[in-house]
Amino acid sequence: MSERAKLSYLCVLLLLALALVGLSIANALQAVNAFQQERNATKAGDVDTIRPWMTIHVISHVYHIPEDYLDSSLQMAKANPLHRATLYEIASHKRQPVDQLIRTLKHIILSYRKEHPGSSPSVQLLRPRISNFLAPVSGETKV
Amino acid sequence: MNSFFIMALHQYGYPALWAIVFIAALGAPISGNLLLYAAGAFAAFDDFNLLVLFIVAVSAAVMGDGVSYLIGWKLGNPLLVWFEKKRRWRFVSPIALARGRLYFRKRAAWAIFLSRFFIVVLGGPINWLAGAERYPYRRFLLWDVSGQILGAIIPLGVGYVFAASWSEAESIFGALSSVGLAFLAALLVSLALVRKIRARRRVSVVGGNGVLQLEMAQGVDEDGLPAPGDPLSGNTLLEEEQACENEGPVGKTTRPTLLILISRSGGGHTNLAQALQDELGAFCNVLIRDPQSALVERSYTLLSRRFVKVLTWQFSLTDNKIASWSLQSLLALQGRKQIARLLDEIQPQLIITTHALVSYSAARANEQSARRVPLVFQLTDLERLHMTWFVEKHADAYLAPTREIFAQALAQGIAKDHLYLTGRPVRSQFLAPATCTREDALAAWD
Repeated sequence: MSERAKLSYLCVLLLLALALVGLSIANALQAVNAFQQERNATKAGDVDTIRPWMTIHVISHVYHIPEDYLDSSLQMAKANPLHRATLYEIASHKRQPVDQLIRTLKHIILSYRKEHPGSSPSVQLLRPRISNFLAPVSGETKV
Repeated sequence: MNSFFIMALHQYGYPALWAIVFIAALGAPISGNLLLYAAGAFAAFDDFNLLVLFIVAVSAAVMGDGVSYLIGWKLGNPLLVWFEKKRRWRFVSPIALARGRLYFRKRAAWAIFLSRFFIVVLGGPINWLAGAERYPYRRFLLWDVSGQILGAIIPLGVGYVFAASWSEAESIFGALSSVGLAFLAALLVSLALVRKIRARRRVSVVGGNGVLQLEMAQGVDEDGLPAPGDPLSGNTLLEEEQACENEGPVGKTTRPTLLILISRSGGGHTNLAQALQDELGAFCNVLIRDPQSALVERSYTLLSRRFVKVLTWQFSLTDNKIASWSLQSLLALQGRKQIARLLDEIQPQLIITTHALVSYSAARANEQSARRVPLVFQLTDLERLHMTWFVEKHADAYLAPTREIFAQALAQGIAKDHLYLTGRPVRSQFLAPATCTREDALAAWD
């Protein structure tokens, strides 16, 4: 290979490497954005953030639903070894796709929230702010 | 695949984590790191203990890295030599491969450390390469453990803190790692490009003279490798080729600077250094230096003239592994500093040593130098070498004057690809045709 050819080969490689740098930076920014959205959605208790790696215990913790309620809705006893299993394992044990199980769980969570208004994490997060906002109004009424 | 590992983690707990991280550290294409993020998240929901997770992760990764290093040590070197000797890949010349090896030796510590937690995908190949390059295991372990501690704390910590969103947090770190890898690739290509452009400029300045003419005269092939029959190349001496590429500060010319380290405690060693100077002085600035103090020379002179038996006794007493190592370590305490000073002052492109007593100190000084220089041991004796020559086993080349020395060096664990059977250089006056007849010479003696 001649020197000139080697130089052009290196220039092309450099351009490719720079393009790769650009693409990976864009990818990183996208990842940051996706993370922020996901984190806000999880904090707000959005049921779309349920993931197949989660266990009943994790779901109960993140979405503020009692474990017993989830167990009984899924027709699982608390002593069942699947109680501490991931949704992957539960779905494969029940011989149904994991997406279907996630859909079922979403319904269960939403119906629990309907039955118990104020149990949603977003409401729980907002409650102190709302009461702060209402405090001077109630004071004025008293006066 | 990832869901399978997460299931395994959840079902079998710590042993599953240990096994997966261990296999990933061996260089298998699976993400042990991803599992650590998941484990951290599970720990946040009280399914695992974070401290136990940390211990399991670090121990598995360090063990896996150690095994991977061992595989590189056993199998890597012959494979690299095989690649270097013949053109196996069209786009990677043996010289480029060898240059890469030299570059790795310079930057190995950083490469090991960063590939544990930042560019994790390079972890396996770097372990393998460190073993193949005979990178000292103690240092490998030091950098490996330091890197793996961070490599466990980051994913476990991120998983623990961001619990429910660990997979999205993991993708941020994955993306940052890709940015690092792409940036590194761009940096390396830029450096190669700059080097090529500089080399082109230098060639245009030198024109038809200097280095280029010299290479032609020595029958250098298109890759810059010395042709067979070159007095110093029973094999490929890449280091010298590299030395001829660089400019030394001494003389401010395109001629490379070569430092020959001797000890005046032995006339044969000095003669050999002078013979090398005669041979290489045509195209290198050859400097001969004795880094040892004058006291060593004076003691040797006294012993060799008046107490020969003491000298013989000392010689045989130190002719074993432990004693020679102790002697070399003792000499290195002072010799290393002297040689380091010489290296700073002269900045050679190649170091040759013709005396065993400076060989170990030269290797240590070179190792600690900011700019590592290829080191060559010119073995001096013809039948059997003293064990002090074999305390340092990782020089870049060992030049054996005879088959006996070649066999002894091989038996003492010197890597075959670093060993060259070259014959013994003799001083130029012995090669020059005689200017007077035998009778005249004899008459002159009388």
